[in-house]
Amino acid sequence: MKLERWNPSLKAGTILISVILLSFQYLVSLNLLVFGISLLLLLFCSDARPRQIGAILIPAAVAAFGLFVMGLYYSRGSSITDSQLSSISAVPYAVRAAMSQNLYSALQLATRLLAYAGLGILFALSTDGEYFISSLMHQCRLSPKFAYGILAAFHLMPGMIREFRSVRTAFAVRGVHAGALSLKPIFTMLVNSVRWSESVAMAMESKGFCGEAPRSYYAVPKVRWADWAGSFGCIGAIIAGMLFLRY
Amino acid sequence: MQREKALQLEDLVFRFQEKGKRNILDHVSLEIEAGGITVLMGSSGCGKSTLAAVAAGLYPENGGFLESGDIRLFGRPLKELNQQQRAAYLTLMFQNPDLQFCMNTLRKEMQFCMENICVPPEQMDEKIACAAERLGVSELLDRRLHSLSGGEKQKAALACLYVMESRCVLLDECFANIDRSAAREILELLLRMKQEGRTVIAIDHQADLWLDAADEIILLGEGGRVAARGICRENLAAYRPVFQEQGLFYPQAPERLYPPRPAGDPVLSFRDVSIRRGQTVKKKWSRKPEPDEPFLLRQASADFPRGCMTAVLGPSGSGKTTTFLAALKQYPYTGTILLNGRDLSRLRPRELYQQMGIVFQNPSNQFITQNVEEEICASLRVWDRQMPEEACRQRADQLLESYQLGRYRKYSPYMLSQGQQRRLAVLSVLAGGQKLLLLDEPTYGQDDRSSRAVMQQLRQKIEDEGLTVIFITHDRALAAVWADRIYELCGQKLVERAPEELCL
Amino acid sequence: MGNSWKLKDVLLIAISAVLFGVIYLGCTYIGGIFYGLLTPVGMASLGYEPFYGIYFMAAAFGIYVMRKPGTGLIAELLAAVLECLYGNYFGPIIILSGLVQGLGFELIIALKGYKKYDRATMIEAAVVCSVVTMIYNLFISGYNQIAVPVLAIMMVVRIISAIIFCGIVTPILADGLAKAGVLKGYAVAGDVSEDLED
Repeated sequence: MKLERWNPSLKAGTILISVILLSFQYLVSLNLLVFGISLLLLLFCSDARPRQIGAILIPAAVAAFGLFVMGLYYSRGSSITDSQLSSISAVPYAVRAAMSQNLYSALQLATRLLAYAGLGILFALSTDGEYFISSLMHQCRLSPKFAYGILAAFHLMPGMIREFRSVRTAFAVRGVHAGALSLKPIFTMLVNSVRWSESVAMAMESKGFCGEAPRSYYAVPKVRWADWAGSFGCIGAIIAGMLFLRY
Repeated sequence: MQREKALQLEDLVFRFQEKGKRNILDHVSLEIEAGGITVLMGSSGCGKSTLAAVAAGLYPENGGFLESGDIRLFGRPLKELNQQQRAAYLTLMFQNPDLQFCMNTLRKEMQFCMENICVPPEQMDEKIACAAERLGVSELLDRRLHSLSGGEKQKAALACLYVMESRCVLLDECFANIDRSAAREILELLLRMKQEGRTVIAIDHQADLWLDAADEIILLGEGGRVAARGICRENLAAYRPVFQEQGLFYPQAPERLYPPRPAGDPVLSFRDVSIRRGQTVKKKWSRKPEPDEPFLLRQASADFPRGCMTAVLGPSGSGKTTTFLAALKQYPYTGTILLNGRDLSRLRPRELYQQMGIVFQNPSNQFITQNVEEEICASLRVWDRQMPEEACRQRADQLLESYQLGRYRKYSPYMLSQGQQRRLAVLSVLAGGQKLLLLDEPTYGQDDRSSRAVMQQLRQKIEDEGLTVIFITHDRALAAVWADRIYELCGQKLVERAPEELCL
Repeated sequence: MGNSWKLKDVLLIAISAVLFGVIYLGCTYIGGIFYGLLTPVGMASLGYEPFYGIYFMAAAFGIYVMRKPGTGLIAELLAAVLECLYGNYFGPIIILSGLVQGLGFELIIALKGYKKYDRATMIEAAVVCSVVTMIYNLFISGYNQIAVPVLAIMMVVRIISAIIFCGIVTPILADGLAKAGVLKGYAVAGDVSEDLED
């Protein structure tokens, strides 16, 4: 079965339960297994291309590395005193790392993040956004008003970035220097956002969209036994890992 | 036999603030017959767009206060219908092509529309194919909507209304953002829809495109009330005074009001400038553009003479605005752009913007204060830091008065109508004292009186202060009437045109 | 819940969430530099903390403008689903974070009966939200493995960031919008209806 065909709501629910389960354990091996299996599943059971997976993995790997270093230096219960904390830079890293007994804690932290990222990427690269929203509407009773509101906002993103840049240009050209976090362009963009929300709402309503009335649906995502089997399989495997793995 | 009425409005009184004094619609009564093409014309700010939204029940649902009035669609009271039922009688198409869709392709948007009115899913594919065929939008069905041109987006929007089979379509300034040839194509589609028995009501401030197609033109005056109706091609001449009274474009061959000015030395020159289309405007102007993107401009050269008004023509989406962004160092280019003989790449942005100002297509993006008067004062102070407070205010009020904005000086700029906002933006940039002014679609969305006021003011500035003006437009008549030199962006070059060449 | 929401309210919340997302994205460039600089001293995760408050802005803006129960929570959930659609590497886990952030922000406002929306309340909400999300991080991200002084530093930076972005900046922006007449019909605009014409 392809990951793309796994019902998105069930897929998301499974991942959420897995994450909560994983947060109760500190097994490096289980974390790495979850991460590895997620990637393998993506590679062999989905249409995601390896390049895509690589691109999205980079920020996750960077974040995991940061957490690793942090765990290496500052794990709880280690023997770093306050005076050492204030003179970190004075101590050579290699020596510190060798001296510290924090390696395992650091690995726990970093691999946990990788496990989450693996599950997250599994979802992100095998799920069509519109299909996900549609599934939320049919399986999780998300109201159509919210569902189509989200989709409309989602599709405005390219226009919004374009507009944001043109606001900054317009300000620069009027001699107003807007810094990275300057409020003026953000204010202008909020004005635009309010306007857009009105215009888009009116356009949608004039096409007969109203939250309450019944609608027909071109396609309704279904939940089949295979979807449930996949979900139970995943959660079962993680529980089994928690029970039987030691490190 | 009396024909069926598509739309009946009786004594509508509507305003945005319940306790406010100014009624946007002030006792409007209007009936429109089914089965024809009717055009509602009115000056900017007369409430014609509000009228459309009220007629469709979008107001007061989404804001505003309806004091009194009765609205009927094909004889049925609007109050008794919900949005879904209303869509069977009346659907709307709006001015801004970017804000009409909630899905990302036309096919999905059409599905969304049909779902709203409970079309059985098994019929949808056939209806989509049929509508797309009929309106000639088949090749747009699966392209991303945000990658379409303005004209294509408007066609897509019309296709959505078509597939919903509503009995009347109401178009609110749907030609405002698109060029003439695209507008003609849409007009063609509207005629087809009329033949199929649908009613078309269009709101516009320009009549010329509609003349051949419209069964009736209705002029709206102050407060949205009917100033004249029953106008059509045959009796048009008799209504000329009413057009002028309402400040509307009277459809006719344009006549030049000013003799062309002799060309001075070039203020801005393009030498072998090439610009490529980018997915987005690049953050850093110096960053290399994607090498495989198509050219918008290829080794183009042009001179923009000092003390003149130069027009840059071209269909929408051809890269006119991008060309301007390059001249402002906001878009990567290759080749040389000279400002007053100095290479643009050597100028720091600050120096550049002291000499060159621009008014963008969306004027509300360039307001820096939250008060109309303060907006002008801020620009005056950029120009003259020593200007005393009182003098600054007086000058600002004077300027506002000359652009018919005096009564709004205590407003926030965002409270103004589109046309008023543009006038304010032009004014605030002119007040900054720049000697070279770029304008992107300076008259878009404005009636004759206010766009004439804008252009006249600019002309005066040129005569008095030696200002140089370059404006982008898709409106050939505007270029022919006002510009001293005209460039047309075609075939990736800037080609100089004589006013007579612009067949009108 | 759904029925009292107009489509344009949903769209305003969703579109503003996209906007705050874009702003956050812009800030991650700066955050990335901090991150790089702080990695050698083991404080990498501190790099993004100064911008953490932007995460709560959708909730803060939504509830400040609309002033009705559930807005903060819904705003964060919408923001989370949107982020999920853009392909964040945490996928649906973001929705869990959104839930916590929304609840965290709304807590104080709910305790005050959804009646007070002054600066102090917004600042309190921002502080509480920072603390709640940190508790969430303790469990989910395993921060309970990290030494307390380091967590304290992160906590302080996060609180300051939240106060700035949600307690101060958001009300200023929303009040400005209301004054400019842009938010007509929303609770934040009150029933002001001055006639401005001379």
